[in-house]
Amino acid sequence: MKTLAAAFLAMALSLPAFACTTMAPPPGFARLDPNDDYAWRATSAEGVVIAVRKNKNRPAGNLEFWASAVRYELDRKGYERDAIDQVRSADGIDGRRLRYHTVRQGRPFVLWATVYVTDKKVTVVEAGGDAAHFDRVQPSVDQASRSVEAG
Amino acid sequence: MRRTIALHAWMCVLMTALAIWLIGCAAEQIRETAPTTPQQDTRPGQSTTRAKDPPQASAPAALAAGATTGAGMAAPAAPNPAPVKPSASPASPGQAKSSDGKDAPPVDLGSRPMLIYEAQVGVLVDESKLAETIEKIIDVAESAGGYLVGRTDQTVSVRVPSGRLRTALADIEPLGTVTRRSVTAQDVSDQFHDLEVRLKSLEAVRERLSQFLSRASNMSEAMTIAAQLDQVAQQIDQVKGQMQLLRTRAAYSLIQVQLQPRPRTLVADPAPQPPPKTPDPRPATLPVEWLHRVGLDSLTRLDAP
Repeated sequence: MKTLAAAFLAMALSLPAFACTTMAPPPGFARLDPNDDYAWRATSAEGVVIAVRKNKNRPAGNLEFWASAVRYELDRKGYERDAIDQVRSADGIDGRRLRYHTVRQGRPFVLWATVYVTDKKVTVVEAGGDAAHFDRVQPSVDQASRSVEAG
Repeated sequence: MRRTIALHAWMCVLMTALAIWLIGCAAEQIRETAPTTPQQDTRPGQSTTRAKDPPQASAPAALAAGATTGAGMAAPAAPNPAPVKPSASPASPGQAKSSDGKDAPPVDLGSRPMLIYEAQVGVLVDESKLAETIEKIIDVAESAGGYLVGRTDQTVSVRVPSGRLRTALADIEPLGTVTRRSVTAQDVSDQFHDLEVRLKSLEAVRERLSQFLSRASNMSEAMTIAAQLDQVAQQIDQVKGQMQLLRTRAAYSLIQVQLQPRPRTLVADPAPQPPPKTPDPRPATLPVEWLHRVGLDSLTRLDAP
């Protein structure tokens, strides 16, 4: 019995904090099954996707560190940066929203990467898709990226 | 005694009249024999034709005009058909005078000089377009009213009306990359004026020789004059040919185009081109695997498990 309880405890501790799993998908979006990268995903019919990536804060860094790391990675991949915004999650964690655009197969695409950092976790809310469709659901995407619980 | 004196006086009058009549007959016979002389000249061409020309002036006028020859009919070999520039010796009689003894009118070249334009153009074209470019240059010339002068594999010479030289050059230059161009203008007004004066002088000499020929007293004299007429006619043809050549060259400008194959580009096009956007080189990579998967590739891969 003790062994079984220890196993359950270990499983519970190993799972990522699924606080965001309670996040409701924006209107017009359908939730997708999580995969190895994303703990939560939702997509619109036109292919605009919102997803939440939760990972351990290793190496341990603050918001500036991880925001810079994501920015550097996206810059390196050729994305064109539009702006960096200050945002706050549903549970009051300060974050950075990095807004980018790029061209894929001749069409403009938008990518937002919102980074929240606590001592234990790094939460990245990614949202992106064809710019024409993204612009129509942008308020919903904005709301969704702020509604995540990053703590 | 008085009857004897009167008889002698009448005799003198009669003798004088008889002498005058005889001289007149002799002169008439000379005139009648003269036209038969050139008909015996069997040489074809201008000498015979010119010998048949009717005299344009009376004998005294011809003699007066022939003062430069130094003699009249008695010395037909004396005239020198070689003209002398009036500008060099304006007081020289004969050469600068017309058959009626008056000064020849000045040659009117108009207020504009006679100019011969020649243009040389060097053009770089793609090697595969050499022949095509030459054809286009010929088309430009012909559409401007000109004509082809000559061509090789890499050169073409055309003539265009001088008034359309600039337009033709403007049409040719865009056919490739112009590496050099030059346009020269040669003023031949003086040269043309000299030829005109020389032509008038030669024509005056020819006219006088024709008159002398019509009055030749014997066959030998007629043959000598006819030979000189032939020489003068040849010189007139030469001068006319030179004048026509100058007119043609002044009316049609020469354009010589030297085509060269464009060297293959070994360096970047000088036109500014935005550098291709390449990912920034990263000297060090964070040991965070998930970080490298941030982006649209992972985000939009909906079929991933």
